[in-house]
Amino acid sequence: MGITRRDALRRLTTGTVSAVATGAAGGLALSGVAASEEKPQAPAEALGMLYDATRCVGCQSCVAACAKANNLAPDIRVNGLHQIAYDLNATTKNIIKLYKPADGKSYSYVKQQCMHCVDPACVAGCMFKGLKKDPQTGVVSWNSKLCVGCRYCEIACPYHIPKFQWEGFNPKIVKCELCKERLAKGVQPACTEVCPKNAVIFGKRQELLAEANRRIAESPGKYFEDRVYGEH
Amino acid sequence: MLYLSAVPFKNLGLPELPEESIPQKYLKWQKRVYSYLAVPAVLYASMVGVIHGNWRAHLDHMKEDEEKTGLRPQL
Repeated sequence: MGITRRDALRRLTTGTVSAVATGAAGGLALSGVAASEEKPQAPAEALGMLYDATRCVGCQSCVAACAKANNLAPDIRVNGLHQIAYDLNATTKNIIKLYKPADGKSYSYVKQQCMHCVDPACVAGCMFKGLKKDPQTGVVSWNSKLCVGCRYCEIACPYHIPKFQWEGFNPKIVKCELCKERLAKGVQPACTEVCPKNAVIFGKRQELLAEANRRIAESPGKYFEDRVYGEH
Repeated sequence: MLYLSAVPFKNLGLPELPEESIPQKYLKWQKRVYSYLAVPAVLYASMVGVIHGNWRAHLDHMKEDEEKTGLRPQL
């Protein structure tokens, strides 16, 4: 035999040391890459909405227009007549809520809908890419052909936006998709179109951000901390 | 979606999220775990290489023995 036990052990030790060194170096390099990854940025041509709570009068026109544009049955469970949803649900993609503190002052309305986050947790949580963020418009949309109904998106979303249609044989995930069918036709989303006070406006994200900053500069102290929520 | 409000955002159900987004955080850890999983794979490949080399040397040795002695080697 040409190979002694000592030779075999020596080769094995050499191989092990080199393998560990290579792996560790690779691991460190990869973790270095991960650590140096830049913060995700919104696409340059991203679309979005700017909601100014100080302008909103709570008329809920946007809620009704949203349901109509998206062929969703109006939620009239409260009084059997008016479309008043308590929260986002299987037939409500957009809602206006009222914040009313106990002391009775500084009340405010708030529009709740999909935020179309820069780095959406729902998209990251979806194992079949059923939710996707458009690389150009930034719109987070749902694909019925890829969704398996696991509802991980519901859990992942920090705003609890996606809702699941528990009733029916072919349930869907319901969330604002910025009226993508209307956008394809060159028409703005239904909610921004009908808002009588322009409390919610549609446009390119950069332009909306500039508009928001303009409003803040115009009325210092009017807005909370003089900042825009959703900018970062 | 961008918001302007006169009241604190958290009162409107808009939480202050951490600077590093949740997907970003998990992706970072996932990459770390997977990168270190490469270590056992590389170790295994190296061991396969060593064993393969040893086995070839052993076969050569057996062939030499067979030529010298004319006897069929036994494992």
